[in-house]
Amino acid sequence: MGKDTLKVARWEFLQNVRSKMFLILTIAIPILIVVVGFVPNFLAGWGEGQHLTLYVVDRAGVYSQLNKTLEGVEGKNFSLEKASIPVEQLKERALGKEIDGYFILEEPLKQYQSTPIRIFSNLDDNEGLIAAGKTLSRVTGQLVASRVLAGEGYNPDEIFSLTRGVQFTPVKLETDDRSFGEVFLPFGVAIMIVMSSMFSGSMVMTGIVQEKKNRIVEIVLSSISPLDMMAGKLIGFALLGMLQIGLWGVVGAISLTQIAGVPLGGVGFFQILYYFLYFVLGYLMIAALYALLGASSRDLQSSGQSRGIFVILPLFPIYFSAAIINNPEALWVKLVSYIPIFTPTMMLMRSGFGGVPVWEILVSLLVLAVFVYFTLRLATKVFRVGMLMYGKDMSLGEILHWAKS
Amino acid sequence: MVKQMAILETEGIEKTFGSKKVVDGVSFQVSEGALFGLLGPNGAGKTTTIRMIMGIIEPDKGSVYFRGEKRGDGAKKDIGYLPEERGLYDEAKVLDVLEYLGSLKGMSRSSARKDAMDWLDRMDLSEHRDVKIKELSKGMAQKVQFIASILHSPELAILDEPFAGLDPVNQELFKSVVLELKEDGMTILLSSHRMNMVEELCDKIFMVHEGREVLSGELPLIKEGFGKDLVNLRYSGDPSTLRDVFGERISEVELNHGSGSFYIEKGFSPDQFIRELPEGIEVTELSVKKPPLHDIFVSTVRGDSNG
Repeated sequence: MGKDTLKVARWEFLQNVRSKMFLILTIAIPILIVVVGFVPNFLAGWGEGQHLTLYVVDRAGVYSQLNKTLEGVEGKNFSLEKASIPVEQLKERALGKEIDGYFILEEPLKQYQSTPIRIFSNLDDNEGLIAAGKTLSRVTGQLVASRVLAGEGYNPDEIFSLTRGVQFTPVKLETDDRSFGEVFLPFGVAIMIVMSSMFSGSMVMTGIVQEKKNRIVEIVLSSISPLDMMAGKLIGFALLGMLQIGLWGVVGAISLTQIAGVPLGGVGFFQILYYFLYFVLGYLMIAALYALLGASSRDLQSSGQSRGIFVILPLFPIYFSAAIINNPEALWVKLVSYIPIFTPTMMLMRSGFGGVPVWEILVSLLVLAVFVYFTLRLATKVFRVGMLMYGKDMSLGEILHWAKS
Repeated sequence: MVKQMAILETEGIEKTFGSKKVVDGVSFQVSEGALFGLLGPNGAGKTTTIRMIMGIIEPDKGSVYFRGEKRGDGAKKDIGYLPEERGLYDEAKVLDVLEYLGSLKGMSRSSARKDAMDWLDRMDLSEHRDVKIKELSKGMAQKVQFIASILHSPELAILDEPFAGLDPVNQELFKSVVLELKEDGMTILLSSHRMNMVEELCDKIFMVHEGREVLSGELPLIKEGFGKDLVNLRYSGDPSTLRDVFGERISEVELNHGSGSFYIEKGFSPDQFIRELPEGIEVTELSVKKPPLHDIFVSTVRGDSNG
């Protein structure tokens, strides 16, 4: 009995892990996420994010002081380099875009309080130069002022510290100090769970409908019981779904930590455990519903039509994620969490946005488990009969009839 | 002859789909080592009967016994089954499919693989073992499915229309393999609407029509019991004189342009027939045979026979 289940599970897993559909879904989705998530940032940052190197022709002997002052400036898009070649050569190289640009500092420095310092460059990207110029004017302005004052007998260091601008740093106000990992991981996982259970579930259904259509189901059912067949399929595709989530998880974690530089910290054992349970139960629920649909449908078209509703339902909470973020404690949010078809998505999102008490997690898991148990029983009964009912769709009445039998 | 034990027995099995009674009280026994023919036109209830035997569906009434005991799920492993509707995992490779289906019947994967290779050899398919099912021709796929049904050397193999869709060469191949399996002691239940095939292979038959038994027993006895012999004739002369002379003693007469066939009543011997031939009829060829199963079936169903 159990042996046959595992044989079916092994077969389904090995056959489908090599299938085009699985490969496409598993590989395409992370690529899509990465492309949608990172490429716009990358592109947006392309122009101003480019780092410039500007050469300084230092005829006033201020380079080292200027550079030292600049070290303390955050977020600058350039660095300075002392020019060691004649100005003519610098000009040539700037024209040839071999260097980003250069400028000349001459005595008396005082002249720069009325004349601008010109940065010679042949770059197309003016914005970068303008940003660099702003920073330079501020820093150099301080330098010039301190030099001038020092010439009149003041201590330059004292003056420098006095003339330093007061800085403002934006500090984002947050209700608590939870990490990105704690907030967005459940949200990401919620979406992954729903997507993976839907992919795996629809693969269960496609498989069932095809086997029903080409009658291989007769060979299988003449060897093992319908229960073993269905259980094997559900387990096989559960493993496939877990592999998929695993792959996505690894890609997601690497992208977040390595590319986007976001720490994941703060994910504990209990959190991983209930993610896992929500996945397994959520998957079983959707897969059982899909199996029921597949077994009661004549072909893929007709199962596709009735499938529409199941595709939308578990996704429903995601559309309302903004409302849930704003008020994770709202009564309707809590109530909807206990409607089994929404439970995995809702609870994972809530645990991300608002923090959910442990008892709610446990109760929702229990409600979900009970629902899954009855869905599986119903699916098994319909499966038994539906798998051999060819050429027509089962009506709802028939499904209920077999469910009661 | 020693009475052999019935390996399979159905006892008054019935199945109704909607308002249609598809199988209506079918009872038969298949003795061990027999090649048993389940016959009947399309839609007679053969496949439904087989599905009930296989436990794919349960009878509304009646029972199926395997080796004298009510057939449970356990018996599924001892029975091989070639369904009428052909289909295999299109995307999977031949050898993988056979290994899997063999393992579902309780074989270890390695022995399923090994035996499958031998069978693929026997069926001229060894070069195709790593080919995907969908790339096979229809006949090849049918061979693979046939192998799947007998790979685990079941005690009983149920073959539903095994010859359908095969070219003559492969039909001969299948026939010889079926006979070989019988030689090796496998009990075979062969279901077909093609009477000539069943006639060539089976020693016992069970004929159904509209869900009910119409005829059953040992093939020679059935033919004997039909009560008529078939005469095939080549002649010259006026055929109407034949009808005048023999009248009621010949039936189902078909005569045209120098050849013809008809049935003669039992007891009316070929010798007597020749002596009574009317003048002007010259017979150039004459054969008297037991009737083909097809004719027995047709006349039984029409109800114009006492068989």
